[in-house]
Amino acid sequence: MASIFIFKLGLRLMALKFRLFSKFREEIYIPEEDYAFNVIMRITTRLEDANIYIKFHNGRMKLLKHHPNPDTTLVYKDKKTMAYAATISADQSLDMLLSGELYYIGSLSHLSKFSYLSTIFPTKPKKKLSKNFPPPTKITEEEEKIKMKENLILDRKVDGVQFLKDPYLGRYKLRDFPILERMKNEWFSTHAHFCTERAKLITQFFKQNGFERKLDGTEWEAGERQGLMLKYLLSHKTPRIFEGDLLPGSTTSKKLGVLLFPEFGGVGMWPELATMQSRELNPYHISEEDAELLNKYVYPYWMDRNIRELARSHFNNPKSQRMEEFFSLFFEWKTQAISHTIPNFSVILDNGLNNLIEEFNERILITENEKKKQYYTGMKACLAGMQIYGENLKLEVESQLKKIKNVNDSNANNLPEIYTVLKQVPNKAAGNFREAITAIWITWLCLHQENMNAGLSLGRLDQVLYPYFLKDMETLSSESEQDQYIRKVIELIGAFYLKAQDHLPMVPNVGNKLFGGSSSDQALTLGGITVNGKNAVNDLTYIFLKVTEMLSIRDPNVNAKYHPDFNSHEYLARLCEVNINTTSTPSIHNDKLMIETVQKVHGFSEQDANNWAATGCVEPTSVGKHFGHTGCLMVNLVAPLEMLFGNGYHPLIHPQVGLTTGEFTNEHFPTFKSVVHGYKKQMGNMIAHTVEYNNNCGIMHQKYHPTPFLSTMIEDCVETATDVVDGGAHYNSTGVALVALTDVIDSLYSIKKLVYEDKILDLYSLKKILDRNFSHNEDKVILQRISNLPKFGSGDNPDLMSLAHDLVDFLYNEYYQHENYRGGRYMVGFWSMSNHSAFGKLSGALPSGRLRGKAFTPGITPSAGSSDQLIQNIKTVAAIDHLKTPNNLAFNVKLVPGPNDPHKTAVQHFTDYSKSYFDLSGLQIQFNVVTSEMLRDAMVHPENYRWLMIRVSGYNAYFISLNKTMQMEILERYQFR
Amino acid sequence: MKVPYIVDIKENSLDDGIGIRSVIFFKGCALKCVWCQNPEAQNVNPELVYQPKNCIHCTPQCFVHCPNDAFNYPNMVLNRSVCILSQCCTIDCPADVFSVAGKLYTVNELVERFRSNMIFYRNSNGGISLSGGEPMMFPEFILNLIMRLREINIGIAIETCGLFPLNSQTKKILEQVQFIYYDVKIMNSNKHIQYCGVDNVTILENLKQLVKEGLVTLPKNNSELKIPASKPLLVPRIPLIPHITIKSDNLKEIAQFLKSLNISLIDLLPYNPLWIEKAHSIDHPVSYPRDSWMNDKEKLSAASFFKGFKFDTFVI
Repeated sequence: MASIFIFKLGLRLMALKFRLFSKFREEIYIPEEDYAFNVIMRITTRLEDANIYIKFHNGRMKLLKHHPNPDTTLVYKDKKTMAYAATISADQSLDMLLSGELYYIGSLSHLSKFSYLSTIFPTKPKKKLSKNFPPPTKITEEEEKIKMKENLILDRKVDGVQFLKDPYLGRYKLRDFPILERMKNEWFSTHAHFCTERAKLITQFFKQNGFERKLDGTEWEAGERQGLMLKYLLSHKTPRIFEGDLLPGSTTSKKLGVLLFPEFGGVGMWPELATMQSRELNPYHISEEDAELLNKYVYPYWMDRNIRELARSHFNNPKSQRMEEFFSLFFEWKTQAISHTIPNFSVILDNGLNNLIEEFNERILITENEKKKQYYTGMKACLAGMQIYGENLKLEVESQLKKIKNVNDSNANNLPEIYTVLKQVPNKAAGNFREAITAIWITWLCLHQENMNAGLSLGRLDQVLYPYFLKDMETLSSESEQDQYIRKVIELIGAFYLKAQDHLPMVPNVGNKLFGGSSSDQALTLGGITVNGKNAVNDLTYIFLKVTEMLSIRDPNVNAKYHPDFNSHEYLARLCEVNINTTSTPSIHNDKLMIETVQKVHGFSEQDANNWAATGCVEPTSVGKHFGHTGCLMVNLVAPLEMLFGNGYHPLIHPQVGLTTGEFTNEHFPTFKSVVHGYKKQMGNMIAHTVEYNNNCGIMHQKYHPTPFLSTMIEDCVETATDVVDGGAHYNSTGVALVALTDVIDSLYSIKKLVYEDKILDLYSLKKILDRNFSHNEDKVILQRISNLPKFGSGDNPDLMSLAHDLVDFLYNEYYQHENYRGGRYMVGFWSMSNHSAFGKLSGALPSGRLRGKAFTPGITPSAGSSDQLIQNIKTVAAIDHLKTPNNLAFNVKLVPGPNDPHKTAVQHFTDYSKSYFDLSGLQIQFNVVTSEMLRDAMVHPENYRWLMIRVSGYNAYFISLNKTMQMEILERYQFR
Repeated sequence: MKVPYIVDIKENSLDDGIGIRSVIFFKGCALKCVWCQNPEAQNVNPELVYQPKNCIHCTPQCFVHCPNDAFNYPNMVLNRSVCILSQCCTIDCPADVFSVAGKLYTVNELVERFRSNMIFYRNSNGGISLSGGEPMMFPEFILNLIMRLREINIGIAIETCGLFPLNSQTKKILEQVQFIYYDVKIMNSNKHIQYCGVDNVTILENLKQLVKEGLVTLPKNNSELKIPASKPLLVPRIPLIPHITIKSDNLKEIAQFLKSLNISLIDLLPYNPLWIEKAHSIDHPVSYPRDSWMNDKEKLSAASFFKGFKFDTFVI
C-alpha cells in the first residue's frame, strides 16, 4: 500500500507546513476575521478498506486514526483510484466527481476548500495565462471574410409599421454604424475579469449587520434585510462609464466582468482561485488581491452560509440533494439563482424612482402589519439604492466632463447627452426613447446585483419602448430628420445589446467541461400580438431585427413570436432571413399555440396570455405578472432508463438511488408494456426527488434570499407585500426542462422491436451489449439493425408516435401533480440548454444505438439518423401535443441553403418550412445555418471563427467556446437543405 | 393498365421544380444514356441491388434461404443468371447488402402517402414531381395518379426525356401538370443513337409540337417560374456531360434550336458521378467512366455559353 502511504505523506507535509509557516496557516485560521476552518474530513473507498482522517482545528492539521463523525467524507471507487488521486491536480481530481470515481458525503464547500489547498501546496502555481484569452481583433472584418450577408429589400409597409419605408432596412450594414462596429470589436478583444466588488460589499454588509439574525440577536424580516443589503451594495457600487458608452453604468466594475454570488454558487470557484487565468476554456483574470480577498474574507464567511449548504443542514442532507450532487441525474438552478423571470419595466418608466419611493413611504406609514411594513422598507431600500447609484453615475459623468479638453474626444458628444438623460431618469418618468432605454438599462444592471442573472429576461421591448418611439417621431416633421432619428434608435438599441453582454456568468471548470459557452441567457422577445390581440409587429420590431442581424452576437437571446392570424408573411420571411444572416437567431415561436397553451394550462387570462414572452431560453412567462422560475430543473430522462437496466443502480453512482424494479431480464419484464411501466416507476421516483430538492431550495430562498427589488416589478407583490419567492406574483409555477426525450423514445422503441417483436435478443444480452458499449464484433450487427429501425423523426409511424405521446403525457402529468413551495404547479418543457451534452457525457450506451459518452439529442430534436428528409422531422415534432409542453420546447434544425440557391430562394425555403411547421401545430423552431464543413474548419482553426455563433438548445453560443463533446454534437446534427 | 415499378420516393426535394416537392422515380426508360444518373430506373422490371461493401458479416441468412443458390458466402459471389428475384436474401439482411429496386404501389397508396405533406406543398407552391426513368412510359397510371392528386389540389411537375407519343392521352396528362422539365441532350441524331440508344427525332418533334400547338407556356426568366394559371410552363433541361453534350457544336445547335422555338429560360444539369456506384450494384455497364464532379469553372463556362445566346439559365 505504498501509494496510500504517499497520499498520507503528502498530507503530513501539508500539516507540517501549517505548523511552520504562519502565512500558510492563514489559509485555515484567521482569528481576527473570526475564521477557523475547523473540519473533520475522512477519505475512504467504497469498500472502506483504506481510510484517512484529517482534523483541521484552529490552524492545526492533524491526521487521526479514526473519527466517528467526520463532517465531510470523500469516497473513492477503490484503493487504486484513491492512490492515483494523490498524484493528480485538483482540477483532475474534481473530474473524478463526474466520472463517478469519487463522491462526497457532507459539504461541497469543504471539498472546494480542500481542493484549493491542494492547488497551493506545496507552493502556489506560477501565474500562467491561458492562450485562449482573445487577442486584439477586428472581429467584424474577420467575419466579413468568411460569412456572406445579403439583404432583401421590401420597400413596402407591412404589419403595424408606420414609419419605416423599408421595414427590412435592407440597405443598412454594420459599417454604417461605426460606434456599434467599434463596440463589437472591442467586446471580442476584451478579457474577462473576475469582479469581486459585489462579493466584498455584501460580505461587509452582513458582517456588520448580521445574516441569520441581526447583530443584536433579533430576527430579521428577510425581505427588509435583502433590501437594505441591496441599498448598501448599490450605493457603494463603482459608477462606471466606459469610453464611447452610450448607456451609463455597468453590471460589474470591469468592462467585461464575472459577477460573483458567494451566497449561491460562488464558493464553487474556490478550487480555481490560483488557476482560473490559465484554464483552457473561458479563462478569467483575477488579481492577487482579489483572490486573496475571496480566499480569506469572502469564501470563509459564505462557506456554510451558501444556499446549497444551508439547504443541506436545514433538511439534513436528504437523498434528493445527494442525488443532484452526482451531476448525472438532474441539475438544480436554485443553487445558483432564481432569476428566470421577466420584470415589468413600465413600473420604473412610467413613475420614476422619486414617485415610487414616495408611494412606499405612504405604504409604510399606513400599513399596520409589522412584517409588511418591514418588507415595504426593504422594497423601498432597493429603489433608494438604485437612486443613489443613478446619482453616482451622474457625478461620474460630471467628473469625466471636466476632464474633456479636446472637443474631438470621442466622449465629447456622448457625455453631455448622457448627462441630460441622467437628469431625468431613473428618478423621474421617462419622457423619450433614449431616457426609456437608459432607465431600462440601469434597472437591468441593478437587478443583476440582487440575484444572479441566469435567464433573467427582458420581455417585449419592442412593445414597451414603442410609445416613446412614436412620441419622438411625432416631433420630427421632415423625412431626413426621421431617418436620422431612426439611425439613432438603431444605435441605442445596438448599444443596449452590447451592454447586455458586459458580464458573464461564473462557470467553474467542471461546468466548462459539462456545459460551457452559455451566456446569461437574457431572452428578448419580439413581435406576436399585443395585450389586446392586435398585430404587435411594429417599426421597432423590425429595428430590433436589424440590430440582431447586424451585430450577430450572443446576447440578448432573441426570440420572435409569429402569430399566423395577425403577423404578415413578410415578417416570417424576415425572421428567416435574419437567421440565415446571423447563422442562428432569432428562435421562432408559434404565438397562437403558446397563447392557447398558457391560457389552458397556466390559467392566464386572455390578455396576460397574449403578453407572454420567452424567458431564459424559450419558456413562457406572462410579463411582469408571473413568477415561474422556468428553468430551475434540468432533468436527465435517460438516467431512469439506466437505473431500470441496473435494477436501481446508475452505472456511475455507487449507492443505489433508483428503485428496485427487478433484474433487467425477460423473466422480470415479460412484455414491452412492463418495460415501459418499469421506466415510468424509475422516472416517477426521480421526479419526486427533483421536486423535493427544488422545493427545499425554494424554501431556503424564502428564508434567506427574497428579491424585494425584482418584486417591485411583478404585479401583486407590492399590493400584498409578498415577495415573488413567497408566491407574491399573480401567477406562480415552476418550470422544468426535460432532457433527452428523443433518446428515451428511440431506446424504448428499439427494445420493443428487437426484444419483443423481432425477438433477436433478450433483455439480458441487450444489457450486456450496452455495458460493453457495442464493442464486440457481433454487436455491430445489432447496431446496424438498430440503425435500420424507424426513429422519432422518421415520419408517420403510429406505433412509435403513440409511445412518444404516452411518454410526454406521463411526464406532463407526473410533474403537474406536484405543487411547488409557492402554491404553483410544475410545468414541463423539452429543451436542454447544453445539458444534453453534459448528461450524455455521463451516460452509458443506449438501445437507440447511441454510444457511451456521446451527447444526447438537443431539446426535442430528432436524432441525426432519423431521416434525411426534413419534412419528416418537422411532421414528427409538430405532432407533439403543445398542451403537454407548457414550458415550451426547442426544435433544432440545421438547415443550409444549397450552394446555388439565390438568397431570395433560400429565404423562401426557410419560410416555407417554418410556415408549414406552424400550420401543423409546431410550437417552436430554431435554426443553425452553418455547414458541417465550416464547423470542422472552426474546430481546426478556431482563431478564424471567433465570431461564429450557433444555437445550442434554446440559447446561442460562440462555437469555439464550447467543449469538444458539445462541438461534436453540433457538427453531427443532420444538415438539411 | 401497365403498372409501373417505382425505384424510390424522395419526400423532400428542392431540386425537382419550385417549392418543396416529393419526387416519384418510375422504373423504365426508352433511352439508355451512358451517363444516366439513375441507371436502376432504366429497366422496367425489378432488379436485385447488391452492395457487398455494406456487408458486416453477421450470422448470415442471405445465402441460406436462397432457393437457387445464387449467392456464395463467404466468397461473396453473386450469380445473377440463376437469381429468380425471390428476394429471400433481402429479408434478414441488416446492412442493405441486398435490396430490390422496384416496388409496386397503388395510386391510392401514393395519394395517401402524399396527403400528409399537403401543407408543405401548399405553403411553398410545391407538389409532386414525376421522374424516373421516364414517367411518360406509363401514361394510364400517371394520368390516374395525376387526376387524383389534382382533386386534392396537389400540383404536379413532370421530368421527361421527351420520348413519348404525342396523342390525346399524353396531351391530357400534360394539360394537368404545372411544370414540364423537358430534356434536350444531343442534337445530332446519330450521336443521340450512339450515346442514348435511340434517335432524337420524336423528342425534338414533340417539343416543337408542344410549342407550336400552344400547349405550353414558355417562361422568359426565373421570376416567371410560378404556378401557371392555365397551361403548363415548360423548361428545357440540358444535361452537362463533358465530351458528350458539352461540345461546342452540340451546345450551339441546342441553343439555336431552342431560340427558334422562342425559348429563353433553361436549366443546366451538371454531371453527377454518383451513378457509377449504383450501376455497379445492378451490374449495369459503365462505358462512360468519369468519376468526378464538374468544377465551378466547367459549369460556369457552359452557363456563359448559353448566356451568350441570351438565355436565362439556372444551374441545378
